[in-house]
Amino acid sequence: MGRPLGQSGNAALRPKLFRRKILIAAALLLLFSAADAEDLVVGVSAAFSGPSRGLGIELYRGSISYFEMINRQGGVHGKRISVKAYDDGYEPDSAIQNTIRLIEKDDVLLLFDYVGTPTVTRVLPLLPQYRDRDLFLFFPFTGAQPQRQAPYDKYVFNLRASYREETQGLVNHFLEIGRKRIAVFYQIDAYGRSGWDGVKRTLAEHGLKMVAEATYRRGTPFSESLQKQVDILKNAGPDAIVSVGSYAACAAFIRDARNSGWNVPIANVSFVGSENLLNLLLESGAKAGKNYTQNLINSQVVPSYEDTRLAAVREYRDVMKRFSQMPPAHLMDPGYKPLPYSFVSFEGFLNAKLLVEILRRMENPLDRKSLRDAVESTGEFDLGIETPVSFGPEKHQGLDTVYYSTVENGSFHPIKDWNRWKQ
Amino acid sequence: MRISRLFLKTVFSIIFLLAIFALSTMLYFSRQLRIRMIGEFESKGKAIADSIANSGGEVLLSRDASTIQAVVDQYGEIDGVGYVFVVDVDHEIIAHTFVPAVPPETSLIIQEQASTDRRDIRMSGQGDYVDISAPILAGAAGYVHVGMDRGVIQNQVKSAIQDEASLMVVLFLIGILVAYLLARSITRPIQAAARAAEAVAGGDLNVKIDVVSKDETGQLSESVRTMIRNLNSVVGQVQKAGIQVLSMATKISATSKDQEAAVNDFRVFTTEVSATARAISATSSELAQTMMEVSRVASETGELAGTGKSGLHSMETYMHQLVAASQAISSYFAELNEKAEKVNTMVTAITKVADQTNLLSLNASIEAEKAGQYGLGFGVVAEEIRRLADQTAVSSLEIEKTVAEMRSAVSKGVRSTEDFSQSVEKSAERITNLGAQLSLIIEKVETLTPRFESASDSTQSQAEAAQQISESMFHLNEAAQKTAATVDEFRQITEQLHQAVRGLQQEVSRIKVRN
Repeated sequence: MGRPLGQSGNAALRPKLFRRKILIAAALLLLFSAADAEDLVVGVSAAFSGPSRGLGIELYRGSISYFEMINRQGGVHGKRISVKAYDDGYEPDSAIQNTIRLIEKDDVLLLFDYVGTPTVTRVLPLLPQYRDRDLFLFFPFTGAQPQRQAPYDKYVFNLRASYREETQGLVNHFLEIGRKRIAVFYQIDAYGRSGWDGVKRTLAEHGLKMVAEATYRRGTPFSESLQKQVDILKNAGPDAIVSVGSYAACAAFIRDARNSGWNVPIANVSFVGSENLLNLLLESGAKAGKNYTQNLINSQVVPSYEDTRLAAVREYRDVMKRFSQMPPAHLMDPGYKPLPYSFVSFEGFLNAKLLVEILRRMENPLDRKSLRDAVESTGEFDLGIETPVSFGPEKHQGLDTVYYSTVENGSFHPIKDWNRWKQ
Repeated sequence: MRISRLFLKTVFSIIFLLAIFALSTMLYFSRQLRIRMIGEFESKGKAIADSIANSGGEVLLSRDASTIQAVVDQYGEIDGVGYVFVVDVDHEIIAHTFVPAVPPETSLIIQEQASTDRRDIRMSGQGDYVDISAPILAGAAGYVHVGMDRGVIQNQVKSAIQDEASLMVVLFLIGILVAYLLARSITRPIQAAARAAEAVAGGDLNVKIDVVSKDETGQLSESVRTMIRNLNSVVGQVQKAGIQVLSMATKISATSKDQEAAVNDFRVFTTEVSATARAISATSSELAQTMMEVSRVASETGELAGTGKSGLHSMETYMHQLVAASQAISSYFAELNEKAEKVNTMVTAITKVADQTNLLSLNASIEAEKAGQYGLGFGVVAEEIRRLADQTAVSSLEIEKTVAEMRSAVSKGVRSTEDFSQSVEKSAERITNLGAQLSLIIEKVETLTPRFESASDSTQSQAEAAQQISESMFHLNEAAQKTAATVDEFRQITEQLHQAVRGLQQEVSRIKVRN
């Protein structure tokens, strides 16, 4: 498949002798691209609606904006990268249906930018099912364990650190400053359980147990009261809360905790979508005349987009300024206000940048059989975040670094000193 | 519109039966449904628990909580499943679906998890559940607990029962509708027939029945229609007959008036007969008085003879004369006796006439009874009676004549007696001595007196007989009067008949007959 254009792609790399031919080929490519016949099509299933839509939309925007830039520059080996996206609303069943559609109907090259643990966890069993197609899931927006261990790890490439690493880091930091009574607020599904498990394991290493736990149901909107959960945890008298949830529910939990006069440090993990969380707290805080943003800690799996020392941050900001793209109209919730910059869209940008790098290193990016090798055996990738990214046959997670941030002056900044919460 | 009682009875009976049927069916199936559905739910819970336990062995051993949670979530979304939680060998919950927190009651379940695989439990703040547990790797890796939500079970049972109930209600309503239509289709024609019959009872034969049907109610309607048609013709005929009877009654009434007149005429006649008889009676009485007079004179004569004691012995010579004279007298008086005998006969004849008249009066009364169309009969009877009256008149004339003869005979006797007394005067002195002889004569004269008396008696009895005739005539008159009364009564009855017929005609004419 794709032989003639593959050859013309190779031709593009040859001397200037063939420039006219290249132009003709490019014109043909444009013609064909209308039919999507030879694009590099990546398939996305993410939350574009519901309480977690902010994650799906921002991740998509970070990636598609970068792809836009690459496409304008001539694509990868002369091939456009296009994204086929479906909305799963953060619901596992929809995610499964979308995935089957992407594989069988749309015949995508690979799966990309999936959002959420419960969704991805349920999609994973499909991948061995289609193993003869050499189908891989690239850089899902989740830190859950299942796609990082057997039997699914070989079908998935992760970029970000795991929730286990995020929660481990958070718990260790709290223990260091004397906050030993840890309670967990979590979403009652595979995602929440993953974070819960990380907290539990880390505490166990120190011979400790969590003092309390409270749960909420996936899809809980910000408008709902979570006072019950606040009361359950408050009654146990914890020193710190690790919150493993989505931004609407976590913001509601923080709001209700602060409203009941409880100022305990609350730490959220990367999946929460820090800016979406912050915006909800700022808006409702302004309405209530209260400051809901004190004592908030968010762990991140990408560096701060405020750190312009980093080449990746500068490029990200440039891309988001010049090539900012929105999801197609049918996926876009008109009530959603896109963020200029965010940890999520920065992660989407990095995902896209890494994918383009991988594809560029392939002789024929349409050759799926060579995809695994291209990722596992081509050494280090430099994304411009100071930390090099590399994969191997036994290493399907690119980064292990966890970054910590807190709200200062209405935005997230890296934490320089944990001792301010020392007890 | 008045509601037919038959209709109400039919409809209410069917509603009652339907209600019993619907209610008992509902109760029975509700019970069955509840038992079966709860059983289904529990076996569903068991299946889920077993399924998680079987798939969870490997995962549990790998000790990845989020993978277990993903499996648990998948089953937790199944309808009726209230919660799912997985316990490891250390009795620690490693995945669950509780919101907002794990209820304390779970520790109870965990403690006794090996002893039973099914128990009812109430989770504080969560509700009532049937907890079903299944061991993972025969308990070596832990246990799976599935809580089937009793609330959901109850709701499902309730909604199933509600569905069933509403179905029954719909069927019930359809049943009522069908019963209503059925009952109406039966009672409407009957009602129409009843209305028609009522109208007929009220005298309106113009009523119409519109119902057309092929079933029995149609037959009923057709029968009532036929009945009204027949009644129409019968009443029409009765009305005509009434007019005829009325005219006949009028005629009878007129006839009875004629009869009454005839009877009145008869009464006049009998009155006349009676008067005549009374006259006869009076005459006979006078005759009797005369006879008495004669007797008295005879007595005086005897006394006069007695006074002529001086010429008694001279009287011997005249004794023969006297004897002859007395013989003549005795013959005269024998004659008189005969006449009296004749009077007797006549009296008998008069008695006969009286008898016949009596008989006639009887006939007359019989005729009077038949009076209706035989008014003329009375004329004939009247004729007969008139004839009898004539005979009676003739007889009375003869009596008169006889009495006259008797009078002359007596006169002769008187003259002879005068001659005899002259002889006696002549021989007065002579017979003075003949006192004894004269006494003998006196004795003989005295024997004459009873004879006169008997004659007088006969005359008297004649008078009595005439009186009897008169009485008979009076009775006859009375009878005729009664006859007249009877005829009057008959006339009155005829009048009543007339009135009755008129009334009947009025009644019948009230009924409106189809033209």
